[in-house]
Amino acid sequence: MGKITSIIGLVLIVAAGIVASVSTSYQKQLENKKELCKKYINSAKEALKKQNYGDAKKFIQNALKVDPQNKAAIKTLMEISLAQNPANSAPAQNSAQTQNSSNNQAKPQQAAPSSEESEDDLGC
Amino acid sequence: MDLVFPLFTSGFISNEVNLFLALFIGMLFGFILERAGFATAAHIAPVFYFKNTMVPKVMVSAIVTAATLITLGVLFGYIDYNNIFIPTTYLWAYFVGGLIFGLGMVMSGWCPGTALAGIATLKIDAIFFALGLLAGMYFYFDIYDASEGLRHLANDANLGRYTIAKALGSEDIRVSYIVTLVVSFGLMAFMMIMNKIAKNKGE
Repeated sequence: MGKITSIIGLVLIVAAGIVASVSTSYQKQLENKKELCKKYINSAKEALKKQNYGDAKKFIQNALKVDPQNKAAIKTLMEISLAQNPANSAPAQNSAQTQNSSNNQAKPQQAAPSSEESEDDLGC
Repeated sequence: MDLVFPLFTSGFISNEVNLFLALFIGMLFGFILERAGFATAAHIAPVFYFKNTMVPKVMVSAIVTAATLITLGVLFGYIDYNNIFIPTTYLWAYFVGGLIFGLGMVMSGWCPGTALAGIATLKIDAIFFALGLLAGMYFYFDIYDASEGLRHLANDANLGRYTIAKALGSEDIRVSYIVTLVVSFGLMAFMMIMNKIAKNKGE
């Protein structure tokens, strides 16, 4: 009895797989990829609302892996970057870089160090 | 929140939760191995003489079920295929490693996974197998840096993330799925035929 149940179960599983494979076109797979991308973007936005920037960035990077040209994903990535580095959202000017920035995360975003700044000064 | 599998690489669960789940799934896997009879060398070694078809049947059932569930998950957008871990394919390393693996398995009746399940049920031969495995690994790592030939063997023919579909020139997961079904059931049929021949010969 157990053997028959196992065989029937296996046949049903394989049948489900074959039916799904035959009935799903490659176009549908591409559409599902877009849905996948939307899920990642929604999760990134939720994480952004909770100020969980690490998770938000992870989600949006996954979204861009699925669909690199997705405009909503690129826009959300920009929102995350701006939320992480509010100091850099000010209009760009050719002012000297301040060494007293309280935002440590802004440091990697700064322009390349001048010749007067050594790696030691930057804490590398 | 919409979940996307795999949960860890997609960013939906933390490292800690992932490790806890890995421990739980590992224990469940070991339990199932033991209940399916894989924690006994006497069940595994006869497979290579076509005297036991239980192991191939269980393996084929597991492979086919897993392949079907993954394919369904990808087709319906629940699994992110790009985030599923697929090890890099090093063609020559896998070929030579597979030969060594198969030789060890037919000699001892164990593979690394089943040996651990055997150790958990206090099988002495499984313990010796594991010690031999560790010794072999230590020896390999010891000579790796000194041997240029070995480094070439281990690192040449790097095909990257290589799937059946990619080998056949496609990006469609259904290609991998159908080939997996054909090969798995073909292998099982082959083993069952050879088992009948071996029985008829009265060996």
